[in-house]
Amino acid sequence: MFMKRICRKPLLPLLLLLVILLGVLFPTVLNQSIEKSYTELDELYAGIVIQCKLIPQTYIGADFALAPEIGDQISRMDEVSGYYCELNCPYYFRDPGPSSGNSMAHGTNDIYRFAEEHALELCFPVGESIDFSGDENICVVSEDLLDAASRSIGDTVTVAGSVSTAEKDTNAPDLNLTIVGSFTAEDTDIPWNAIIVPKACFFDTAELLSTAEGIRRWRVYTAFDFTIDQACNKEFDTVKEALQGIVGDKWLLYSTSRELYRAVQPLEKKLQMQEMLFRIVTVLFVFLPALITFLLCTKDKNEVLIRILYGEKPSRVFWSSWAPYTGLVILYGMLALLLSQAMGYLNGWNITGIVAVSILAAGIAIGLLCKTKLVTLYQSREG
Amino acid sequence: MSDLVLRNICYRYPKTRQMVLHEINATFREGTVTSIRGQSGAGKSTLLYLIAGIDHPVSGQLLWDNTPVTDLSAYRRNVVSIISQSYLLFPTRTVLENVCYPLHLKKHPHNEAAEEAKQLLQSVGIDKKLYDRLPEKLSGGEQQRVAIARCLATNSKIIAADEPTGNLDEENTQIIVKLLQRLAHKNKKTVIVVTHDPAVAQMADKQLQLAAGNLIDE
Repeated sequence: MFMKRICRKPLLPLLLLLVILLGVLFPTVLNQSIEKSYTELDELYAGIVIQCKLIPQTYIGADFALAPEIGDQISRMDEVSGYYCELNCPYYFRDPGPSSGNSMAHGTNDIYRFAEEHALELCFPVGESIDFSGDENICVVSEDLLDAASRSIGDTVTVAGSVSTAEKDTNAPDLNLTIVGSFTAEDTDIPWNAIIVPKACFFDTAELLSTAEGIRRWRVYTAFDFTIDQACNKEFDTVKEALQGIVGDKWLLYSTSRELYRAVQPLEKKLQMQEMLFRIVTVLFVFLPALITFLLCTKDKNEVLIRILYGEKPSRVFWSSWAPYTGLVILYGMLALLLSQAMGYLNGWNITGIVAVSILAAGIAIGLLCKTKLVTLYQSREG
Repeated sequence: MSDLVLRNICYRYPKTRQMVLHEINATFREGTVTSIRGQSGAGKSTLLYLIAGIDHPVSGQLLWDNTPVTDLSAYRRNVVSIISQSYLLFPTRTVLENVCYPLHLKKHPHNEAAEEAKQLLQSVGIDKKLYDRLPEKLSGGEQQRVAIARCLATNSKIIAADEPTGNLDEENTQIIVKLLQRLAHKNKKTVIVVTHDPAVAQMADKQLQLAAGNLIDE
């Protein structure tokens, strides 16, 4: 009988079905769009390289140069994926050496970029390449120095750290370096008698470039830049805070993060809007079917009235009226479930919410009718 | 002979606390049509609600067959039927289903119930082709006749008619009045009609007037 009645007045039941299906369809479409935006956002985060550089807050004295401990600490951070450094200290040839006196030892972790930065032309034995990121005791010197020291590639030289470029530290420990390449240059700031060594020679090998007294104030970075691991781009603000904590307030962390933010912010805003819309739509489509169910049930006022007038107990009228609506809503919920599965996004909570609230609304509507005093219900009858 | 007796019935509106019926005493005989007239607000509908078991009196007793009516649900189920100005038919059930309803309620088998309903509909002059229509497709007179047929299906002893011709034209009014007379005289029902229409009231075997909370013979 209930289904017959539904078929005879199908407008509201069909509207209810439509709204329940839309209540699944809209969140599904929105969810797919949100997932797509998240993927785009992840790709965007992963596709942008944040370049960082430390800039001194003051240019007075030793503050201009970055202390080696700080640079080293940063270079070892997990969030730092690539860095480039140059550091130097005075040195001198121990034995045998050119008579030109002291010069500078330059350390780097990337000899090729160093050569590019200082306009050097590198010369290695054919087919070989040099890796300065390791901890080998090797060096690259100028062709002129090779001649002056009567050395050739593959020879070893002994050097030592110095107090300054003018004063030798005769007690400084030795460092034996194998010459692995040479350079020539026409227009460079690197003097002919300088040596270029891996950064590790300044720290890891034996710290032989320390002065005799162990003073390391001359071992300073003259260039230090790095990038953030792209996987950590999303947490850049936290990384920045950690970096700033390491370098202290004398140094300012300059980064190209603005480029990242400029790229991701529109998408993040769009994502926020989509998520807000998703929440609104989800809530709306829980309550809209409930409202229609409520209206549908209140249309049964005469049905309830006549049945009670004919002596049926209100409790019996309630249960026998509520049960078919519960069945109808569950049926619609199952159709919504099928639609949801077909679309590849199953949100069980959403469907459960829609069905549960609608069943509750039906219960409230019919309950109110059955609980109304019979004379009041009779007087408010529809005719 | 089963009579409906009102004994010292009093009623006051719950909201306004206004006493509208003062110690009403009346007897409605089996096989008669009794009309109750009165001005608007006199309390005729209220009196009918009490007779039809829709509401309780504040004090006094309703006696059916010399027994006080205490269980109104059972009273409505077994003794009284109401005919309303607005016909009170199930809107989403067909004419036949409407008449079958009380029979199903009394556990009549479906086929038998349908046959009996058809006979009842025929007896009130409803054309066969209207059986499967929804009430809204019928005229007012036809709907009221279906409502009467449904009353007959309940086999109630009392028919309480609340302005049964209020929405009908003269021709249909005559048909309904004759049907009510037939229910009383032929089917031995106790028919109580509340009406403001003097013409309808005059066709009753007994005419009562409700004035100032009291029921008096006209």
